[in-house]
Amino acid sequence: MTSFITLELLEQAGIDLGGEDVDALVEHLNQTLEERVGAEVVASLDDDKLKELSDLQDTGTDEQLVDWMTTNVPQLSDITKDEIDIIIGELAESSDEINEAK
Amino acid sequence: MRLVEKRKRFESDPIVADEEPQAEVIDAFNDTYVDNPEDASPMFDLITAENSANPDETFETSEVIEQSPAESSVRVSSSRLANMLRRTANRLDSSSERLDDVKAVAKKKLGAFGRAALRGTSALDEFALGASAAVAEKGVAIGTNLAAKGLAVTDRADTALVNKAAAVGATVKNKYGNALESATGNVADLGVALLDGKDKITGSIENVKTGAKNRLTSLKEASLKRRQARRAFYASTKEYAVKARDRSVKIAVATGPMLEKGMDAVGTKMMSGQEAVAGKIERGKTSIEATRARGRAILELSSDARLDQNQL
Repeated sequence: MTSFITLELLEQAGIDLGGEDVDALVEHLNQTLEERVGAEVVASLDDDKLKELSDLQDTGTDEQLVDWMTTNVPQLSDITKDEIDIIIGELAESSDEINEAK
Repeated sequence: MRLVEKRKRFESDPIVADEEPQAEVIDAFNDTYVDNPEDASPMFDLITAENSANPDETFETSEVIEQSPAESSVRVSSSRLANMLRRTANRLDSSSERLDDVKAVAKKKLGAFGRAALRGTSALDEFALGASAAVAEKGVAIGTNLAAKGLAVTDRADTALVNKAAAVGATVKNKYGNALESATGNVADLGVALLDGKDKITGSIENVKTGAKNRLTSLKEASLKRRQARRAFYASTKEYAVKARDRSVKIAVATGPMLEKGMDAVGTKMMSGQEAVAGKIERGKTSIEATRARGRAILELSSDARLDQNQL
């Protein structure tokens, strides 16, 4: 699984992670991030474009999918940046709660 | 004409004003157009098919629009994808080819879309650069300053949000205003969503650096407001498209009988004209025959007179 949010990135943001299985947290963050970005992309598309994207995902290559996204999704960069900010902000806010769950 | 003006004119159109146009349209169509609507036109078939579609098996755009922007989330997008996939699967009409769990597939698709989107942007680089520069500035005072900047960003996002709402029209602003204002509640929901996977989280957050928490929170709040503004805009765009479609169907149905009457009128006139021309031809033939008869009579008289003269 490709990691977009990494330990290094979190460290740069001021969040230090620890524990034996910190990778599971990073994986969970990335999975959540991907689903949220995907949801925002879907929300931005009309039915015809969504069908086109879904078909391309079934039949095309990853590169074609990326190219399609950059061409057809308005404000794609803003969407991804905002979703990253949101999820890392949530992580920082929830740090106490996450630690209490240990 | 700008989109806003078009929208205002469109929404003030009394044809568009009512909320459930299609059933009424069909009734009106049945009453005024033909005795047997099934034989009427492809347009009737189209409208009937749209109204009789099984809502459990088809995606209704209006369903998504009914969701407030705050409610529009992974769940809504996933359901929308699932409906689309289910419809496709049903078209295959083969149980072996049907998807067992379209929702699971839809969720996987969401993830794939998200990965592609993230790969297609440089957002992570931008974030990493911004974060490392900010973290270099340590200390409570700097943290407070950054938090203030974050709040300023939030204020600007507020302004942008209001401007955006105004841009998409007063109706949309009223409809989604409450949802936009409930962004705080949405934040709480998302926080829960993140912690839903805490059973998977065996690592721990050892430390959130001084100042970083405020800064990250401010960035998150600003991003949430931008997200809400985007969703409101997308929803309003789709609402506009649906209304435009309904309106075009109404116009087509409304003008159908008029067109039919017009064609009837033209046909009647053509028939009348044809009959009139045929009558004229007949009259002309009769007239010609009469003239010929008169000519023959004159010739005969003339011939007789010449014969009499010769005999004399």
